[in-house]
Parts: sequence; C-alpha cells; structure tokens
Amino acid sequence: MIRLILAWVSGRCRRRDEGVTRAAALFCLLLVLTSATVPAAAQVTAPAPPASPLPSASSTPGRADVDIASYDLNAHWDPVTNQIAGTAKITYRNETGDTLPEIWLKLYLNAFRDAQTQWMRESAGSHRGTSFDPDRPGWITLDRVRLEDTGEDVLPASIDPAATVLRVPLPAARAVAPGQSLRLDVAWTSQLPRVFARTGVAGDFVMAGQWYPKLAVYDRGAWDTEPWHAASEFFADFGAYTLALNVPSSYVTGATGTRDGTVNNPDGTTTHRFWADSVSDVAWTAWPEYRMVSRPVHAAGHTVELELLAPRSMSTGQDERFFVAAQRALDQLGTWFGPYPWPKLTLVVPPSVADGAGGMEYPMLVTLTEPNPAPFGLERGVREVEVVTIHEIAHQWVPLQVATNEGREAWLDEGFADYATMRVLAQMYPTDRTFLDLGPLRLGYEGIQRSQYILESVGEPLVKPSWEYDSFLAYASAVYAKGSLTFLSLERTVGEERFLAAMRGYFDQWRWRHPTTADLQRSLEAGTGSELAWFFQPLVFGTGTVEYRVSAATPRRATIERIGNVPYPVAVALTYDDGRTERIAWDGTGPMLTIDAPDGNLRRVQVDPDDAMLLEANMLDDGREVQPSPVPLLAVAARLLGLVQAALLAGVVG
Amino acid sequence: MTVRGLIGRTLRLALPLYLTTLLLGAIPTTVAMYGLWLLAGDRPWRGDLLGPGWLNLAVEVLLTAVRGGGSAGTALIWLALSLLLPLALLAQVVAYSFLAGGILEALRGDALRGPLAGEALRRDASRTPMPGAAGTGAGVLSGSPTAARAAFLRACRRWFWPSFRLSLLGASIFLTALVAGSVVAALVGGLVGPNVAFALQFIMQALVWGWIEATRAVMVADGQRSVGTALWRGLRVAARPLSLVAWLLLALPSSALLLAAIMPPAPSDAASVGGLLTVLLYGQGVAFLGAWTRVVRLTVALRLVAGARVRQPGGAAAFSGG
Repeated sequence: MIRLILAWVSGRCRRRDEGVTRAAALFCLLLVLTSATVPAAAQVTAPAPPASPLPSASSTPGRADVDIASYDLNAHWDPVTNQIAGTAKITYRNETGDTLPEIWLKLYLNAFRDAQTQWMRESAGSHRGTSFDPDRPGWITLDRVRLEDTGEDVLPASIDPAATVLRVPLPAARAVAPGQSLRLDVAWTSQLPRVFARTGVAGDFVMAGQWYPKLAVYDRGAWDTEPWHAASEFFADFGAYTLALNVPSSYVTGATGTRDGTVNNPDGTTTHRFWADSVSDVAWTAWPEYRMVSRPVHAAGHTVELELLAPRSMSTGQDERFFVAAQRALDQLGTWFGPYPWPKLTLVVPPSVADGAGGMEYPMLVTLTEPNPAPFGLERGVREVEVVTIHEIAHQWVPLQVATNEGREAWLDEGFADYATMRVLAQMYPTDRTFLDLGPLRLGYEGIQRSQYILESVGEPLVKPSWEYDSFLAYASAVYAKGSLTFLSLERTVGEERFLAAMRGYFDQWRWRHPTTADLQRSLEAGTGSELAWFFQPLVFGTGTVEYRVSAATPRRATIERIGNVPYPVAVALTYDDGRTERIAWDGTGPMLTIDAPDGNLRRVQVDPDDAMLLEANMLDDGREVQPSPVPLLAVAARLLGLVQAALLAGVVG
Repeated sequence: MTVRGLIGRTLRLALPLYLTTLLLGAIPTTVAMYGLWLLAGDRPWRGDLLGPGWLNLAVEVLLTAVRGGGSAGTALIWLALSLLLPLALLAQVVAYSFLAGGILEALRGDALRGPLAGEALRRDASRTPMPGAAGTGAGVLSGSPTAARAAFLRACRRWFWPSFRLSLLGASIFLTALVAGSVVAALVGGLVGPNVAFALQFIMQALVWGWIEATRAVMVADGQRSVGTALWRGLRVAARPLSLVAWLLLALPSSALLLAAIMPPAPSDAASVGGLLTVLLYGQGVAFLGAWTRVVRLTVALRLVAGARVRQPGGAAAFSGG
C-alpha cells in the first residue's frame, strides 16, 4: 500500500517493494470505494481458540556452520544476445540429519519464458507497474550437471522448459549422507528478459538477479519444491561465493560481495572478481552509464564500505540522501538487532527506464529508486528514497541473515523490514512526517501502513503462503502493513526496551538459520518473559480482530466495549474537570468495562492513549469528551471554508 | 482618480466577488461539516484536524469511514466534496462571468475620469457606442449610489453571455496550456533542471491567464461581443512587452495568495475561541485579498488595453484590422 499518497506527491509510484506502490494505489482507489461495506465483526465473543498447535522447531538453535550451499561462479555476459554463459562449481554440505538421494534446483528465470508460465498466469504479466514483454522473454537452460569428482552426468533427461524447480536424482551410491558434501560441475545459459520483476536488461543496462541455478533448501525434513509464484520471493541456504564476471570493458559493475580485482582481456572485455562469505545469493549489475562513489561509514561499532552505483544523469546532489539513509539504517539496525556482518554494501540506483529492477534486496547489495527531481528541492520532502533505502537495507537482517522462507511466511521478512523502516525513520524525522514533509502536508510512514491495513488486511492471517492470498493486494497489505503493525503493536504492548532485547535474542538465536513464526514467538516469549499466545494465535496465525470503543460517557460514568474478538490488554486514560488524569488497566477479558466517577467530574475518557493497539481497525472511536465544545469543529469549518473560497477563485480563468 | 481612490474603488468592487465565494463556498462547507459533526461530534481528536499532523488524522478518518461503509456522516462529506464543490465551482464561473462585465464597466468609467486614464479610453468614450457595448460608462460614473448600482447591474447583465463564453473557452485554453506546459516541462526538465522547467511552465501559464484577462478587458473596452475577435485582440495586447511584464509580476501575488490559502499556519489552540477567530479571520482575509487581486488584475488589463491604443493611433479601428 505504500503507494497512493506517494503517487500524488511524487508523481510516480515506484517503490518496488510493494509497500509504497500499494499505498499509492489504495489511496487512488479509495475514491471509488466509499460505498463499499465491510461485514461487521462487532461480536462480543470469547477469544478464538488457537487455530493449530504451535509447530515445533526443527532443530536446537545455536551456532550454525554457515556454509551449506557454496558456489564458484563464472559468468560471461553477451550484450548482443543478452545472454549469460555460466559455469559453476556448487558445493552442498548436508547438515541435516537425513540422507538425501536427490537434490532440487531452482530455475527462477524460467518464470519469464513466455506468457503461459504459472508465474505469468498468476501475475497476468504485470509486476509492480511494469509489464512483461513477450518479445523479450527470459529463461535458463542447463547445459551440464555433473558430479565433479567422477564426471558422472546427473542432468535429468527430460526437463520441462517452463519449470522453475527441478528434481535432480543422484546415483544411489552418491546419496548425500548427513555430514557429507556433494560437489557439482554445472554449466548453463541464462537469457535475461526486458527488465521485469527485479531482473533483466534495458538498453545496455543489466540487472542480473536469480540468474543462475540455485540449490533449494532442505529444511524440517523436506526439500522446498515449491515453484516460483508471482506473489513470492525466495528462500536459500547460506554459503561462500566467488564470482568471475566477464563483461565489455566499458561497463561499470557491481555485485554481491567484495571486489577481488579485475583482469582486462584481449577481446575487449574485463573480468571482475567478487567474493563473499555467508551469503544466500549473488546478484550483479553492469552498465556503461553508472558512476560509482564509495564511502566508508561507521555503523554500530563497525566500518562498512558503501558503494553507490547511480546513473550519470542523476544529480550528485542526490547522493547524500542515499548515503545518509544507508548509514543511519546500518547504524540503528546494527545497534538494535546486531551489527551488519559484511564489510561492504552496494547501493544500486537503476535508471528510470529500468524501474522494474529497483527496490530489491540481495546480500550485500540493494537496488533502490531514483528520486524524481522537483523544483526548489521539494523532492526531498517526499521520502521515497529514504523509505526504499532503509527498507531494503533492513532486509539485510531478514531474510539475508535470518533466512526465513519468503514464500511461506513473507510477513517475517517484509513485515520486519517495514517495522524496522518505521523505527529508523522515527530516529531521523518527527514521526508525523516520516514519509511526507511538504509544508502543511505531513504524513508518517506509520499512517501509510495503517491505511493499507484498514482497507485490506484486518482479520487477514499473517502465516499463510503468499500464493494463497486472494489477490496481490491482499498479500502485500497483509505481509507489509499488517506485518509491520504487528511488530510495532508488540513493541508498544510489551514495552520498547523489553521488545528490542527480545528481538536481539531472536536474531542471535536464529542468525544463519531458517526460523518460522513459531520460532519467533518462542524467542519473544523467552526474551520478554511473557506468554504471547494470546497475541500470536488470533492475530498472527488466525483471523482475530481487535476492536474497542467508548460507547458512552457522562460526568459520572463511562462505558467501554470490546467489540473485537481478541481480548487485548489496554490502558484507559481518564481526565477530570480539574485537569487531573488517571490511568487504569483493563485486560479486556470481558465484553464491557464500566467506570464510575462518583464526583461527577469526568471530562474525557480515552482507550489506548498511547496508540499501542495498532491492529485495531477503528481507532477513532476510542475516546469521548463528556461535554464537547463546538469550537474545534467550527474552527475546522472556518479553515475548510477558506480553502473552498480559494479553490473557487482559482477555478475561474481570466 | 487618485491611486488611493482607485484602491478604494477596487476594494469596493472586490466585495461582490468575495461575497459570492463566501456564499457559494458556504454550501459545500456546511454540508461537509455537518457530516464531520456526525462522525466526530464528541471525539477528542476533532480538534487535531487543524494541527500540524492533520493529514495523518484525515487519512485515518477517511479510510476508517471507507472501511466502515456508508454512515450518514461519510455520505454527507462525500456529497459535499464530490458534488456540491464542483457545482459551487461552476456557479462561481457563472457569478464571475456576471460580475466581470460590471466591474470592467465601472473601472472603465473610473479610467475615463481619473488622472490615470488612458488617452485612448477618453477618445473611445467620446465615440458612439458599438451595438451592445457599454458606451461611455456614464451610468457607473453618475454620482448617485443607486444609479451607479443600477448601472453596474445593467453592465453585468449586458456582458454576461460574452463573458461566460469567454470563461468556458478561456478555461479550455488554460487547461490545454497547462497540459502542454507540463509535457514540455517534463521533456526539458532533464536538460535544464527542475527549477528552470518549473519557471518556464509558470511563465507560460501566467501569460495565458493574462491573455484571457486582457481579452475580457478588450471586450468591454471595445464593445466587442465576439469572443473569437476579442481573443485575437487580447493576444495583441498581451503580447506587448509591458503586458508580459505586468502578467508575470501579477502572477506572483496571485500565486502567493493561493499558497497562503492552501498552506495556512496551524493555530496555537484550535479548541479556543481565539483560535477559531484566528482561523476565520485568516481564511476570510486571504479570500478577500484573492478577490481584490482579481479586480486589480482586471484594472491592469483595462489599462494595458488603453496603452495599446495609445501606441496605435486609431484605437479600436487599429485592432479591427487584425
């Protein structure tokens, strides 16, 4: 949802990571939605029983040996055919307790083979505002898959060319026992599409994401064999990578990892080498029109080399926005959740013709969005650059350190990323203008999340495979908006300090592993010392709703109703005629709370005065004035009248 | 007429224009506020709608209303903004088209009397009026307030239809220029930078607006009821260097007033009577200044028309050849 208001003010909805774009779209839509009705959930009921028993953790959390799936990649880019000729040595180390008679490979680019693939049917050929060009498709073909030591060919004889996941049976004698490793010699060809859904080519610009055959994840007793869906991202093990990237010498390159030298070849190409440890993916970009600016920054006690790759056409005056946002994100997130573990981070700003490549996270590399120049520097008041930069960098923690399954439990990474974005933004700007700050037009990023949530995802479960949501809008609203508000509600409910400490414990416990929502719940319960099933079962796993309202208030008595089905502990603030205030706590277990003021001097009653219940659908009926003055509304009327008069005068030409 | 007298005169002429905005603006405002009262009558947040975070609250209110379905308050606000406000705007076009003729006739009469009067206007006033034209403006120059009022209304009626046609055609021209200017600004923005692109668009729109205003003045000054002919003559007036400078300079206060209206300062305490009065006086002050600025612009347009004639001996006859 992060995308409607933004559309008005930025003139272009461009946040690739659904949030901003969806907000813009929703705000546009709401003009035609006013007649829509939502089934009332106002029933006084007991809390919903747990939808299902809490799943068990797969393994005992602890220090993991990180390198499960490691790759030595060689890629030759052909700018004429837009193809990558690739070879790789892939090492898979079986750290599971099971013997594996087969492996599975992910062939993501095949989603773009034509308009009939499963991915394309699900997306109707459109993704974040860009359309698939069937004349410029993408695909990946495997030319060789051999066991490296014996040279034995294990490439299946028959492969569905449109499949995004491939089963590779191993010879019976070569099944991978626990603790053993398998080393593969692989060759393939990747055709990059016209820039679409994070990857591709636009002119001589190249963004290569999900461009090589990737090992699937074996977790909790099974391979992740799910095909790639339109409303889904990725899931991978960690490993050590090297990349030798061969491109024309005029190209400026960037990639996951640390630069490890270049070699100029006699054929007019240059081989750029990169390496990285403990990463779950490698992406690269190349373009002759990049300018590169590097800067070391200090973040949470560490030094990180920031490398900005931006179009030469982008004003250098905009660079600082990216650097400042990146430094603040690395510093704050490192302080809260553990330091950024890698020495370098590459910030890629694709050109506007390659919009579809922006707004995506890869290990040690994020793709961002180019700011729209506006007169008098007004574009700085639209914090799209900051929001996208911080959001993508937040993904460096989840899923790129804590590798949750982005397809099955997308809220764990997207909800966290937007929650973290709200926190960092609140450190940089006043909270009422963390998203928009144009004179009297001020909007907080929290308000953007609330907007999406209110319209689309109240009562929507968070723990749900991405492809099972009714629509892309429902998916994105749930995992981004409800997900981030869920984290923020938990923080405000249990207390900021306790919550951050518990989250830090979650990261320490699950870094380089694959936790689930249940694991998060356990970590938070352990970290806060509180039982949180009352929250997770109805609001995260289930379809519970939070809703309170002050139904009546007189000088002697106030009545508060719980009309949602989740009993949420809440504070109630009472203000008396003499200005005295008092707070009482209500556990919300009954359908109603009556408060008596024997002195007859009650002036105002307010439920949830700290806005902790951000999952409440209607926060506007949480308070009442006992004897309301007409003056505030008259002042609003006076303001509105002046605005209307100005509009009337401005509406007549000449 | 002295400058002080002219200011007084334009202030008086701005009054009916201001009152029409007040009257027409009050209709959607009243309905919307009644709807808001139904939604927020005793809710503590209602005073925050004037605070610095008003947009955050407005979005929350709007989306909560959308999700909650069709309450009476929501329906009234929707009615006010989607139907009554556009209707008020259309009514304002009609009202301005009606008043502009009377205002221009009155200003033309002043011009004939005062030291700032253009020679061409004096000559023109001595000629026989063209059919349907205002003639000498003798009515509005007469000393009796009652007679002046009657003459003002006669002039309003006389020029209503040509003025209304000009309003509609002028709006089309302006919107076309706005779209074209936006496209051009977007195209050249990458080359010249956003500030220059914005300035170019601003200048273009200011000049087009001035052209339409000059046309309105030409109609009354020349007794020209044909909008097409008046537009052509107005273009020749507006294309003069002095006119270009005048329209650009006048665009600045007009834009400043518009900005002042849509970016009002937040009151220190909207819940107090003092806060209410501050908001009310600010809004109405800006609205009256806006109306007065329109009258001042018509005054300038009239004098630019007169100036064009002085430079072209033969006055109106010189235009007719065009």
